[in-house]
Amino acid sequence: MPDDAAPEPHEQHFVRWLRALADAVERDPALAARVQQEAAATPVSDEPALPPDLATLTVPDEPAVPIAPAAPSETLVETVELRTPASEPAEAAITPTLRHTRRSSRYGPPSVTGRAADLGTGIPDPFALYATGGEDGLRRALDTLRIGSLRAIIRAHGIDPQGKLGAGATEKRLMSAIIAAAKRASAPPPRTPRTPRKGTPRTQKAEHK
Amino acid sequence: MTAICVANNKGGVGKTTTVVNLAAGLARQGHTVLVVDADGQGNATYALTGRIHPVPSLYDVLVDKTTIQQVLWTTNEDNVWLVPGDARLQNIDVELAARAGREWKLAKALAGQTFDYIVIDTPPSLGVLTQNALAAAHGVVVPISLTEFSLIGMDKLLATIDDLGQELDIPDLRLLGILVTFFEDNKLGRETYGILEKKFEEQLFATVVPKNVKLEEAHRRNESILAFAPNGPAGQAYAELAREVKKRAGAEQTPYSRRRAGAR
Repeated sequence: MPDDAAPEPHEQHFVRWLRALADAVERDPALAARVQQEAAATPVSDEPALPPDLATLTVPDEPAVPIAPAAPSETLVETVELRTPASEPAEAAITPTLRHTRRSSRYGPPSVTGRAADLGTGIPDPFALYATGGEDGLRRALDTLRIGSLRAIIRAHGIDPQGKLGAGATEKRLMSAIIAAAKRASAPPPRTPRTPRKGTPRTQKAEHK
Repeated sequence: MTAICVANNKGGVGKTTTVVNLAAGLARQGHTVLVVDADGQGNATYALTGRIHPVPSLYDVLVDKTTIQQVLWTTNEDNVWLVPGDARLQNIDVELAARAGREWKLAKALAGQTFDYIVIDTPPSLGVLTQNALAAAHGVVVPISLTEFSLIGMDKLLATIDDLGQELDIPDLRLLGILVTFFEDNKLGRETYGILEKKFEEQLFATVVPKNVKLEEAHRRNESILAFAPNGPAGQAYAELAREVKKRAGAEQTPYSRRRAGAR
């Protein structure tokens, strides 16, 4: 779907259907487990086709359509949609975000929509998130968190032992520090350059030949 | 270990704000604190972790055989742990309706925990979740905002808590105090506080939490007021409340094993 185009009616219907399914999954852990199983078992194609007749779809006990292309996850039901303005495009509605979307200078409460990244339980582990999702994955996950959680990550994982990030550090700065630390930790240890032995330079070998 | 239930069947009186900041206040005095989010709105969970309706949660502890240890989370506050709550708790009255000993499930689950304090957030109702919270608690903190409607319901609420205590056979459950929240220092606020003071005397906490925008800002940042604005009036009020609660709660409480929960 192009970014600037309004969603087609059948696409809107599909989004509504997905939301209804997400709600049902959230209420029923057994269904969540089945959906997760189904999603893991279903091969993900490059171009997932929409079901043939969306108008007849209802939320079934057993999901009738494959839940591609969502990646299988331990906590499919972590986040629910709290508030989605009716005017918001369907694509934005399923984008995981906890950010305050500023459309005008007027105050608007944060929209919590879609599924947040799988952050695990408790204080998220940025190193594990980096290992599984790379820099982009970690950035997306951190983007769903507020400053209190970012500070907690830094504190819990000893990312700022010298206390350089003061009380006034912004979310952006905290995020950068976390990402940099995760990058550093995942980088292979630098190889110590071999010092050439005295008396056996390559030129000498060449001379012998 | 002392378990404190923060309850009021009226909504919007500052229960969750009190739970989060009281827990932070106690933690900053060097205690280990467990927050139990028994409200299906999951606001304490959000305030302490930034997560919304995580699964598994307290629901699984109360309905299934999940243990507290399996749903124990670290939080954004040092020394504060959390048993998260999720939206499924809103229907738990129905789920537990036919189960024997349904009011004691939380108390049983919490038995053996070694936290210094357990602070339990409750929904704005006196249903099975609040009953579980009361059955698990040694003391009750009742936050009240200074509005006419809150005052009208206050007598009834205290009587109900008393009745529940007797009904559930919890002799050592006591009212730790009534906490005035969102206090506005104007003529009406002072008048209303005067009425409360006259009526409830020593049951009122000396600490009064002022209406302060920083409290809401702290929630938005997923921080306690003691992390965000410790020196502001609200931050100081909650630090003082923690000291007062600690004093009123006293030392070690009756272990659950000696209460009725253990006898079942």
